[in-house]
Amino acid sequence: MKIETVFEAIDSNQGLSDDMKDNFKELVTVINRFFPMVDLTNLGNRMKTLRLVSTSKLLTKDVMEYHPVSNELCFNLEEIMKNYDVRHILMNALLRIMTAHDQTFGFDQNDKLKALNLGYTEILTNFVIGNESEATLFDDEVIATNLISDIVGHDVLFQSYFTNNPSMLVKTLVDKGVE
Amino acid sequence: MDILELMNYNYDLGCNGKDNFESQLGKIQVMIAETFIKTPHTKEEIASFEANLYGNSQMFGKHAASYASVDMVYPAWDKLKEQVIIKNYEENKTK
Repeated sequence: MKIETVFEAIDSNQGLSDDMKDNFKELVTVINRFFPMVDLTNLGNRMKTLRLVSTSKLLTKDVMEYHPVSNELCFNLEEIMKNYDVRHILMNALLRIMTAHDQTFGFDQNDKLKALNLGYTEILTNFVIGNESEATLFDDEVIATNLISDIVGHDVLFQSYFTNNPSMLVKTLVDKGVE
Repeated sequence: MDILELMNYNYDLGCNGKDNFESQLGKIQVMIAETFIKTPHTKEEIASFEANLYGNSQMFGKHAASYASVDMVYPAWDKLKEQVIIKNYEENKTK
């Protein structure tokens, strides 16, 4: 899918404000510039009907969560007031939407790679957009994932993430001695 | 997969306790280091791994209260790194 088609999908979503549409379009442009080889079809299809939902910390434990089945992006209102970089949060969300499958995203499956998946999503987010706030996300997961990438290699994480292929990653982890 | 399970457990702890939880990061880092040394590495790869390990100290400072187990990381790594098989060692020795 071409980036223009993703823009059309975003524009067609009547649940998004004009400002939010502009934010998403700008961030999709950034993603596409960094990762031009990554297919945008999933993102485009999901952006047509994406719903933004404000919730409490009881329902959304992190500052933001994306639910692939309902295609809802939920924001923890109490947490997001803590001076986060909103563009950073939205970029993290876009990566989740882009790689969403089943009930999860990226290379995770059945929550077995949950923390590694969150750490890698945050590493990608930092790489493409940075973080202008002192409020950071998933610090422990980022540190651990960075070290694990020294073992399995960044390419394996990248390929597994954008092709939703946990078996490639798990095989490499086992080959490298993870028990 | 003990490392991944401990990472998931630590994440869940953080979700429930936020800033007041006792992070398991130190244990996780030591487990990753133990795995790292199972395969041969070049000196550059070892330096990169060590830099990643040491480069996180700023974050420890920021969340110092959460990182009770971090003290174990550097002494453990100092011992572990002596066991790493250096890739191309024989080749380097003959040069």
